[in-house]
Amino acid sequence: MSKDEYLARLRRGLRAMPEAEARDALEYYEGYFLDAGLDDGEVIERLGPPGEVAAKIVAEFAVGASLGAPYAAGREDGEAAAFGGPAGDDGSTGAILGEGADSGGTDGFALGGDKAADGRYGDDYVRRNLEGRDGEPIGGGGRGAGYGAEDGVGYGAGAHEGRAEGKGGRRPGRGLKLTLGVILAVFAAPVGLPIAIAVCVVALSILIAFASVIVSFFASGIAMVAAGLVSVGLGVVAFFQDPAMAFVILGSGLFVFGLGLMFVKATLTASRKGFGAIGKLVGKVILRRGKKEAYDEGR
Amino acid sequence: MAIQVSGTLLDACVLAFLAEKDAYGYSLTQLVKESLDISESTLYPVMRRLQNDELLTTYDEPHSGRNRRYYRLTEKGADRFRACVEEWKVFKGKVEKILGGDAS
Repeated sequence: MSKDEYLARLRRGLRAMPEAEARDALEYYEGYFLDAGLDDGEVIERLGPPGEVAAKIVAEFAVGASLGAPYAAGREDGEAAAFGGPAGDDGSTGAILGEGADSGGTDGFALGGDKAADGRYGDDYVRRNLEGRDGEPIGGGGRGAGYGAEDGVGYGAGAHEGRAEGKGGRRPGRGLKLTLGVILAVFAAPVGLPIAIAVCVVALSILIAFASVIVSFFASGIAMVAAGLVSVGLGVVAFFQDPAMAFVILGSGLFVFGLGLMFVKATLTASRKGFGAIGKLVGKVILRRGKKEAYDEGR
Repeated sequence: MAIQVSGTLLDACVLAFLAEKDAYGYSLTQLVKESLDISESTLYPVMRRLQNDELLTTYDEPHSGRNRRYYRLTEKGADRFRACVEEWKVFKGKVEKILGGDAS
């Protein structure tokens, strides 16, 4: 594995995190390789599998987020951070309105759910845009809304660059594992769902295509059998008029009849095997994806 | 070394090294590794957390055609470090009592 490949795998492992967080980590490890001044292979060996390195980073980020730490990446120009305030004591309305770091910054706001209990915080984290130049806030028009969910986990949805991830944590320490899992699931949903749908659609279309081929072959088989039978009948009748001709008709009729039977039999066998194979293939693809995802996100 | 250091103690150790002088990721990792049994990928999440807690900041310095990111202790970080040193004295006494045997 080369350095570039290692970093690429690391990036893949970090895709569940906000872009700025992932980039910071990648820059760190890129610098790490260069500063080590060693053979790339040796550095890789010392760092360990990229999946594990990524998992550590993601875990730390998720824990920090679930503890309610405001992952406000910075306060320089071009960065906007919005914090939701604490949820209301009466448990009805959560935090409202974050503050943009500068004017034109995000107007991120977080709504605690109906079940928001006191002590729960929703904070919006608007990722910074490293590319954002001279004070242009990434939040630009992006609105993030976080929802405090019943289990105390808030998540946010936002538009484009201004996307905000709001995380409402329960009181530190409690239900941390659950929180982490849900956060990972939420992060993974935008990627996982479309892929799952795409896989289903492709599988369905393959199935339909195969089924229509089978049906058409079956139909032609049946037609041949029928045509063969009719020809044989005609041949018998023709015997009385022109025996020579009758033999030709009878022969071809029998031939077509046999061919039709073979067609039908072959089609039936093919369909049984084919549908089985497709079913197995789809099952395998789904299983493999599930495993891969578990490996990427969970570890 | 058999004893794994993590969490608050590792944080404190990192703060201690940075209280001495600023460092970049690789150098700091090697520095900590000389004394403690940590893996090379342990430190980044720690640094990120300390950074988010505003105990340290980063600055870039050009080095052979690129920027090297240095970590520096903030005021808050220095305060935390002093607090950690005090905590450690108490903690050390307690553990010594438990593990020290004849020392009690």
